[in-house]
Amino acid sequence: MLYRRSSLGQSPWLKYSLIGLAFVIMTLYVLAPLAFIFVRAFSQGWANYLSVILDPYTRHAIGLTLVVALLTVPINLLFGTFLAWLVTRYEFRGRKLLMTLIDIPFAVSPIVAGLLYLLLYGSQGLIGGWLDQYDVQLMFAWPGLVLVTLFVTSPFVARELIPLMQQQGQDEEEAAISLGANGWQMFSQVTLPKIRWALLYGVVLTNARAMGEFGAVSVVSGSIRGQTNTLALHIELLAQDFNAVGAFVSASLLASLALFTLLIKALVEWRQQQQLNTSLEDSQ
Amino acid sequence: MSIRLSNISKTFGQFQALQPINLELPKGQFTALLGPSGSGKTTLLRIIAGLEHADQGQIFLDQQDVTRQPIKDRQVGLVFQNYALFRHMTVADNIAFGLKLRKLAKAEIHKQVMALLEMVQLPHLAKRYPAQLSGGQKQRVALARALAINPRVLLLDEPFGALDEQVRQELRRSLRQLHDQLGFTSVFVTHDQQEALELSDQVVLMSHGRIEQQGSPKELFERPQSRFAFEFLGHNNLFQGQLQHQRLVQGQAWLQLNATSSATSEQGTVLLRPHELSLANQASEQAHLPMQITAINLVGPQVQIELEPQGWQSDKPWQVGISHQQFHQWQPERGQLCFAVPHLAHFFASHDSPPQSLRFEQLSKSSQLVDERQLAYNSLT
Amino acid sequence: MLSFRHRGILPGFGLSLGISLLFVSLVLLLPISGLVIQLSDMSWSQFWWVITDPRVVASYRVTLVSALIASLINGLLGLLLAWVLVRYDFYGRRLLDGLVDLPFALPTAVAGIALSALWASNGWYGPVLDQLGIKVAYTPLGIIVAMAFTSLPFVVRSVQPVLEDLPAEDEEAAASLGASDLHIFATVILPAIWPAWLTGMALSFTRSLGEFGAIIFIAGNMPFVSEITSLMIFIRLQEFDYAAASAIAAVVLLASLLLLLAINLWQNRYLKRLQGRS
Repeated sequence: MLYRRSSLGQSPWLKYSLIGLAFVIMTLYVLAPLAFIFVRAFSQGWANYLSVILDPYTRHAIGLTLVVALLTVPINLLFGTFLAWLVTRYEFRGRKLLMTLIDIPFAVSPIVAGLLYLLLYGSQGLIGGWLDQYDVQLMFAWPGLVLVTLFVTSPFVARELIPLMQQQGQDEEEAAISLGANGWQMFSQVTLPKIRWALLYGVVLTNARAMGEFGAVSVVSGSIRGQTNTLALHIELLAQDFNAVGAFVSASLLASLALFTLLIKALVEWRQQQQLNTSLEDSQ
Repeated sequence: MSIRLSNISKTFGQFQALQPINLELPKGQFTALLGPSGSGKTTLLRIIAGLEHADQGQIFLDQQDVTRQPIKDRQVGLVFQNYALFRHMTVADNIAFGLKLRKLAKAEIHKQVMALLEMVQLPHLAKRYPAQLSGGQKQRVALARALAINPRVLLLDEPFGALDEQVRQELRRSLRQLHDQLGFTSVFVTHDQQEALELSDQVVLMSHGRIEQQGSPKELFERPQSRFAFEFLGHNNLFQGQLQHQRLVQGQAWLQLNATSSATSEQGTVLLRPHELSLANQASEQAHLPMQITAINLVGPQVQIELEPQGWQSDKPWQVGISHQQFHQWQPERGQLCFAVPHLAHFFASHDSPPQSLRFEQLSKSSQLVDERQLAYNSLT
Repeated sequence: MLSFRHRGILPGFGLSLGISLLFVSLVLLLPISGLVIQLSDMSWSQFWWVITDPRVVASYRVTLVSALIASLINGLLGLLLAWVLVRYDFYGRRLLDGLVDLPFALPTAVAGIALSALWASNGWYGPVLDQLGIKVAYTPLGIIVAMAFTSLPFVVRSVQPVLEDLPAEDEEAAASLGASDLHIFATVILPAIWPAWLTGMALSFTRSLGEFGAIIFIAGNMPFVSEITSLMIFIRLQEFDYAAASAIAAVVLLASLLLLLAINLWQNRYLKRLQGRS
């Protein structure tokens, strides 16, 4: 680290009491809830844990959660990459507006997000009413889950890529073009290798949110067991059934996903730090 | 490959980056686009490359109109200011990039890459990544990569900008050698007048999106045609004053003008360049410019003497260069009084008017004689 | 609104513009237009009647007050964490840094069920608090706990980079002039970090306003006492009163968009000032 610390606040008793305080708070505040999930999930042993997971409704919820993520992640990956390319590589009017629009899903309550889709695609809605004539129902069915999840997770990839691509500039892309590359060759051979780690993290974040989304999907799902119940909704249903262990088993699956996400984040940051270090060492 | 630009102009929003520009760069020449930042030189280079579209005008490479041709078909070699090496590829892969796109056989690519690495004297670094190279090495790799596609024109954006002086000297020399050897047409952008004058066959001096002046380094240095050109091409000593009886007067100082220059206005400015002046213990008949020596810099091929006006004003201190031999004979010291004796001066009636050169040849010879007698006298006592 | 003359020659402008516009229109703008259409069916008095219903007004109060308290708690906690993470080297620093992000990564329903059970009488914290006569789970206090948990990272991640960029020279200069640590903190560090600190708290506040999943598990959801506004929308939807749900949603949407806009403007101004200085 190049950062030079000043002596401020470095007296040992202050330092160690502040560090201690930080650890105590984080343990009580963040670590304990996490640990609690696993403790409760395994409170009746491995066998019970497995039997909850193997329960047909839980299995269906897991499957549906995977399907939703499998559909939303690639679409948002594609969209996020194109959007990041657009706003970092070209100067055009409306660029700022576009960047503000893409932030809306971050600011909007997921319940409002669900409502927006229900109004449009529900049987009384503009598009929903029309689809109804052809017996196509999107809301309270799996396509509705995919649509709202698409909305809620749309900013993640672009948000990861935009600052990085802005900072990297476009010299390398211009060099590739001047050497005769076409658009695809430039993107796949020059741009993609530069952004792959941020892209990976964006995908992991999108995936985590897609699998864990609760508010928006609860509005459009109807929570029908074995049909429109995702894992996050399943937790609530089981809790309402006073099946606490079952709820915590489902929660532990999603908590593991969160830990995996953090692991990838640490890995990406470690990679970037390493790259930075090599370039710093060599420039000296 | 000759380059011709006809009426090229470019605006970014409200900012006029390039006024309509006409320019002809003959085949095989090494041209410098010289100017301060914001003068439009990089924009012009990017337009020639095809990295930027001109709002208007046409570009011809060898009489062929390439204005609408995309950059990938123009076959121009580009060296970027920060080299823009592909950071995830080795040196060899960087150089091979353009060759691979041309679908050459593997063995052929390898052969050409090695030849290019030999040319830029880096065959031992083929397996390194850009982050592991020094600035000068990166620059050579960027050059090799640009040359790999056998460009019709080589364009370089501030090629030596980020390098230290010694590496810069060395690279300048090897670039010039490569140019002479391979005979391509090259254009490079720089803000460094020394670099431009030293390296190029032709200098295009730019400011505010316009071409200020264009010519060989010799022409440009000997006959700057505007105040801007003077100021950009090195240090100038300034003498501002009122016109009185064919003299430019300020306080105790004056300078003799000729009939044509004095007729036009009531006041004016004279620029005197350090190498067009000498120093003497007596004023000449045509200039009375009393000075006091404030600093002496011995480092360099010439002795730089810095002077403060005596009995008149100047915004910046004056500079005069004298030879080391002269310095040894004369032995001037800080605080010593003397007179500036011009051989050549450039008169401006106003800021935008063209310069009128004033020669003081006769006089400078006689003053030089006086000078040397004086010097001899000084050295005896 | 959009102008298609662009700068630069890199390929893909048309394609990326097309895909972006298509996506933004279909996924973001079209659904919002659905809300506008729904609202246009209502008269002003109807709209006003729905959004000023006493139970709904109570939910505004609960949501705002809880979010405010939660973001203040996070302001203090976040500052402490940012300071410790930036200024001290210690075993476990990376772990602590990683833990900060956990609330973002953990699905809200998971956070909700964990927090509610943890703070409940049969959890780990509940029994201790019961002896003190404090109830957190299924009370408004629970809402604050859930909000503070889910929005914890904002303040840390806003303050951290600013604290890192603070030149040591400033503090050393102040120290060499004989200032005490506390004095230096108040006169050198605080003025440098407070815009970022405030931004972090504002982001935390905005996020808390919109939080749903974590809260409904722990709040108890008693009318007039511990119902948040998002839940009011949800309840109206379950009653199939789409009009009322839309009206409340419009209030929430408008409030959060205005907040986001204000934060963006504030950040821009603040960033410009920083850049102007360097």
